[in-house]
Amino acid sequence: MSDTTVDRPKGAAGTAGLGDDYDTKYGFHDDESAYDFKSKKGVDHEVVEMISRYKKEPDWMREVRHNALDVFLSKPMPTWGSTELLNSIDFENIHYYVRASERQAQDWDDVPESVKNTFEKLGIPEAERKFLAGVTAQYESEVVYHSLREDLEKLGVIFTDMDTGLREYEDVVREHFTSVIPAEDNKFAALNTAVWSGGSFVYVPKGVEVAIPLQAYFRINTENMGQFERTLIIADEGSKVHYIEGCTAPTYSSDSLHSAVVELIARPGSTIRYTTIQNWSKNVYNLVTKRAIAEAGSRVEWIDGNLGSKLTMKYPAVYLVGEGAHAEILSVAFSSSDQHQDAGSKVIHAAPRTTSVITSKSISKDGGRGTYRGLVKVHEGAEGSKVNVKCDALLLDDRSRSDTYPTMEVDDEAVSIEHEATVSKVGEEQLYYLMSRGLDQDAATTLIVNGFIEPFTKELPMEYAVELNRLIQLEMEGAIG
Amino acid sequence: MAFERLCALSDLPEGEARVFTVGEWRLAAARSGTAVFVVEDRCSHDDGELGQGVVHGLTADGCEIECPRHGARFDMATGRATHMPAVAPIETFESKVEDDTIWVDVPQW
Amino acid sequence: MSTDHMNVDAGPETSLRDVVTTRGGNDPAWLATARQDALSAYEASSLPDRVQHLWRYTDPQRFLPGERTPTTPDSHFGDLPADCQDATYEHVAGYALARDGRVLRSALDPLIADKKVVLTDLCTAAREHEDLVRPRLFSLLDAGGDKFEQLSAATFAGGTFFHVPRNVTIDRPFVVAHRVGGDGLIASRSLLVAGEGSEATIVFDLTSVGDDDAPLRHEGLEIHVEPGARLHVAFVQACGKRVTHAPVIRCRVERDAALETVSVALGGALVKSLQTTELVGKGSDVRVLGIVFANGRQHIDHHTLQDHVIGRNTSNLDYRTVVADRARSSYTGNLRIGLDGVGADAHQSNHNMLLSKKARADTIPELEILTNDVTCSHAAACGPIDEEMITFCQSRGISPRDARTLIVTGFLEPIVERVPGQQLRERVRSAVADRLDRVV
Repeated sequence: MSDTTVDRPKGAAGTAGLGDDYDTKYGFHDDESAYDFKSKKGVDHEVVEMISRYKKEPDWMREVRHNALDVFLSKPMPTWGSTELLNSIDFENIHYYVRASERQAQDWDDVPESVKNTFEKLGIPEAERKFLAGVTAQYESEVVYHSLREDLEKLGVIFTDMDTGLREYEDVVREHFTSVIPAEDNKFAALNTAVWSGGSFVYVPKGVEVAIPLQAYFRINTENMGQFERTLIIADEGSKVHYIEGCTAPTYSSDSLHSAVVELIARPGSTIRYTTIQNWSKNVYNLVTKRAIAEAGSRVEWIDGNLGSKLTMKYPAVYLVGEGAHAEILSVAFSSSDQHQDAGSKVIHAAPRTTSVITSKSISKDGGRGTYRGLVKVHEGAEGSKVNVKCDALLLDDRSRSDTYPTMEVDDEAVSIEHEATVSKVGEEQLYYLMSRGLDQDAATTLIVNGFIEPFTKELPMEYAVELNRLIQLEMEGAIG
Repeated sequence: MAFERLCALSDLPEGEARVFTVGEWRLAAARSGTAVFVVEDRCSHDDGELGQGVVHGLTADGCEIECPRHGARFDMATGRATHMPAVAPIETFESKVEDDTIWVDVPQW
Repeated sequence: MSTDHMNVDAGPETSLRDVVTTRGGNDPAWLATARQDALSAYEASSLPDRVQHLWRYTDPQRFLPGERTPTTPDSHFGDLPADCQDATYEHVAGYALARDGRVLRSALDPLIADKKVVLTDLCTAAREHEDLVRPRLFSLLDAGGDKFEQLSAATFAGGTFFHVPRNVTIDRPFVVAHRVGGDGLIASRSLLVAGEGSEATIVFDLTSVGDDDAPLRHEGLEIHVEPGARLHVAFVQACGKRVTHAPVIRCRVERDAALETVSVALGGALVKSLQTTELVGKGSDVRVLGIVFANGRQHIDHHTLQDHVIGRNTSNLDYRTVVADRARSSYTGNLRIGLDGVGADAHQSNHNMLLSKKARADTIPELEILTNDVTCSHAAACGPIDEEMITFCQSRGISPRDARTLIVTGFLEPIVERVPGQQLRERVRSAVADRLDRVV
């Protein structure tokens, strides 16, 4: 592919070197001796007890963990989605807790060299200096670096890692932890509740608007590692916040597990936007539960990009419980060889005049499988609610697969739901047109793919949009012919 | 609406939820003394059965029933959802105890 | 020309195994064996898992026979429907009268009979037309699939066998009028074959004897549309409100063939229907149409699958649902394009109209696409009667009540008008109007 054919901005922050392949860019890993602490493999009450004691947690949290472990052990594996891949997860061969450094740093220079190298290779500190309000970097199980701009701190914005949140704001955490996603919700939420470590705790006070994004970066660096971060974001009345997360891991011969739980609470009139660029290596199982409660007049937006992982099962949800609340779920899934992106969304309309817009774009190539799985439920009493769902899939070759499984349950007459889905290949007319303008087939296809996901890209901060386009370009190289 | 026989008082042990079928309705019931709480046997989260869920905080004024599948809870007196993942209420039914029989008022269709 | 099919069951029917043995006793040996095999498969298979989405909204327990014993079919049909009184065969090409799963009597226009068209009971056909029945019967059953399909294969009392020979074209419809009664298990199987290059239309008119009859009805149908044939099939189900009804319809459409099915679901307390259509040749055209109109506490759960095993063909599905009172409709429609489905052009649409706050509609329009050179789409919508349309009607002097009736009727009419046979079509229209009278 020629550089002149596709817009490829040079020198944007945090994107240097992204033209290299994944292994060069994200594939580095530490040698074993660099670790401060690593739990034995497998999960049982002893491991849970150890994690909680090690973190010096209050008794109630320890109990929450132990109860959740019982739920995890008693719940069967889901019988839908990619059951074959799910059943191949070896829970006994995973380290549930790995700690690489003793203390959390607030000054970048204090971060241990081995960890700092990792994040510098990823471009995290530069990105922070350029445009972020605050940043958290999680390495294995623990947050290793954290900073928040002073002006936001003065306004009462809390942005810290979840462990610190639990220590310093115990009452708030106790009130809301598992209030959106109980451990009983599903097997992986239960596992996360039992062994969680790290993640972000965000509180935005009434009326405060955080104009620039808060960012978290998650990194798995150990083989057979499980990362179970736990994030809780509370946007108080009339406030506004945008949170961005990115994730990577090196490629190992054996699989890793990432199973996060993210709980969002949008108080009346607030706005939360939660953006994810998921680019785990192709041997990570990414089984994540993300859910928001949206109170009256609030707005919750999930912007979810899935490029990496072996199997992703993730359905960001919004429960619209207050009148006039709005949900926006915009997702892109890119599935390549040996990848199954089983992603989608859930919106529950439980109050009058609530609205939701769901847009899903899926691209499959080289035998990859993209699945859209969604639920829209309108409860009785949610009169005047409106739902619009649009799912488009693009199949780049005859070996790839696209599935659409939308479920709509409507329990009130006075609502309007519209759902549309299409599956297509790259249009030949479009392709010939571009090729007649001098583009080769690869470049033309890449351009069409970029156009296809443009509704998503345009919602990203510029640096992320550039990174995403680059990643897609990487995936697309040699896609045709 | 009409009262139909739910069960004998002794068929519903205090403090435990039991499931009954009355006409077309599947109902879950719990009682404290002669205060009987009857709800539809349906969790509004996924329309599955509330089944033999655990009953919490039972008094003569009410109690909560916990869905055994995903942990949602409902106020059995009002039907209100009190715990995620449920947010919508379920139906409640008026009941009365006469002699040793519990009666429940269910719609005809 | 007419034939009577005598009631040949002996004595009271007790256990399923006894029934299978008794009913198989009148069958050729190969069919008796097939019944026993199906019963073993039924007994060996577990109930569908409610976690599996096809049974998410409906409890499979309610389709088990439990205390019900198989009903010995009544030998009296009762009054003939209007379209079966057509002694000169002006409007129909022939008809069959069935009770409780067995065809009692069938009649054909002598000219049609001369063309070797067969319309008779399936058990009779198994004896008299083994060459036509044996290669096809049960060939479309999903071996690992539906437990209840095995139940009807094992215990069927009879059913319709319809065969149109190669290159025979018939312009008038055939009618199968079927009445069910009692509260036992009624099992039937039907086999429809449109031979190569043939053209025919057949309608199934299903009613129950009285409003209080509450049978459990398991019905299996296999439809073969052979190369170049055109078949139009309608199912009008207007049973009483206590009937439990579980049809499983399997269709196979070969190259250059066309199949149009129209389902009208009005009756039953609980209905769980499954219709699958395999497109196994290029150049074929499949239309799957349906309406559901439920009120009271009716629960109607429909599933359709159009499977483009081979491509370069088209399928279009249009299902329209109206639910009132506390009624509930659950529709799951899957569109699958297999690895060899290149060039498939497939669309499905499901629209739901809710007429009350307690009514409920579930819609799950699925796509499973395994190759890329295809054109596929689905659309689904749910909503109330459009208030703007009512306002518009009012401005034209139409009362809100009449406007509602008009809007619902207009919503269903594009499907209703595809019901063949004028008398049956009018019956559907008046059933829709009656129900609208009660719910609008």
